[in-house]
Amino acid sequence: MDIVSYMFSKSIFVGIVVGILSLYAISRQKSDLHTLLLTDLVECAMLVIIAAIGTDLAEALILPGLVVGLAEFLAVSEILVYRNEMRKSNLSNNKKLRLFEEFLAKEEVYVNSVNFNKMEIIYSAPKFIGFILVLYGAFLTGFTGGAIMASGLLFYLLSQGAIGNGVSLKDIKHSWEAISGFSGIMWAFWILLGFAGFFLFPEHYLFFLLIAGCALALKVGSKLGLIGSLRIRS
Amino acid sequence: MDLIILTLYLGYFLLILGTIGVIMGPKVNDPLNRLLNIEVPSLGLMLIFLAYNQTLALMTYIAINSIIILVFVRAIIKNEELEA
Repeated sequence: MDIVSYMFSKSIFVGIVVGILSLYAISRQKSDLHTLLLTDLVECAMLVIIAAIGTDLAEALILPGLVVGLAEFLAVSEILVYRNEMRKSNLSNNKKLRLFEEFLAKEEVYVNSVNFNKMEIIYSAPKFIGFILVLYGAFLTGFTGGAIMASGLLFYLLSQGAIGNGVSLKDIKHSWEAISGFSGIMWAFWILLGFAGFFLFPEHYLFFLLIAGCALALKVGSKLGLIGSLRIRS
Repeated sequence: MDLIILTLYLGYFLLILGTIGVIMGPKVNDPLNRLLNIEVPSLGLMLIFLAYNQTLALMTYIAINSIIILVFVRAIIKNEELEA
């Protein structure tokens, strides 16, 4: 008997014990902040139970769980802070909160005196880097390719916004609609044509696999590229 | 008993003891103390990942853990500011 199946029941037992203990502590807790801290423990229990499978599948399940957990903690703590702020300052000063402002530099950055417009690289480099990233993403296909393509688009749009010759608000509205419509059409290609054809005509599997992979890449790429147009100045 | 089983048992021990420490340890009414206590079960979790040979999960967990501490410290500081 190998070690994974030998330790499986013990790991599950430990995970369930930790989960029950921390959930019980949450149920007895009154402060919101302490509840948030104890939620971290529940996540530990969940990860132990998943890790007890001990295969590559467990690893593949843990990674998105961690990222989702991080996003969850960020959102919940932000809501907590914001609610406390609202509750406290109904009377007077309502200053805007920025994300992670405790860890940012307090002083004004000494950067305004440099004349950025004279730098040639600011105008030429983003196009080149964005082009290379989009090409490489198209070459990879699938989810990874889509993410790389999106990072290329995002980089290009963000750098255009930083230089100052961004697109106007009206253009953003049009391009937003266009990109999201394109993303929806690619979704239909991916699911309806790619997957359905994959199951209906298994003898032409390579053709449908390519359709599904390319459509997925274009869908993820265009969807994430939408984030870039959010930041462009009008 | 070989090294892997020992690592796994050490992970279990730290996880359960750390959980009890977080829930009813000394001075846990201060949120910062509770945050520091959470490090013990997460170390146990890392040992369990190590014993199961899940390298990617271990590295991602270490990275995520440090970011989560930043998030929590921010929430605690904001809370303290508002209560003072």
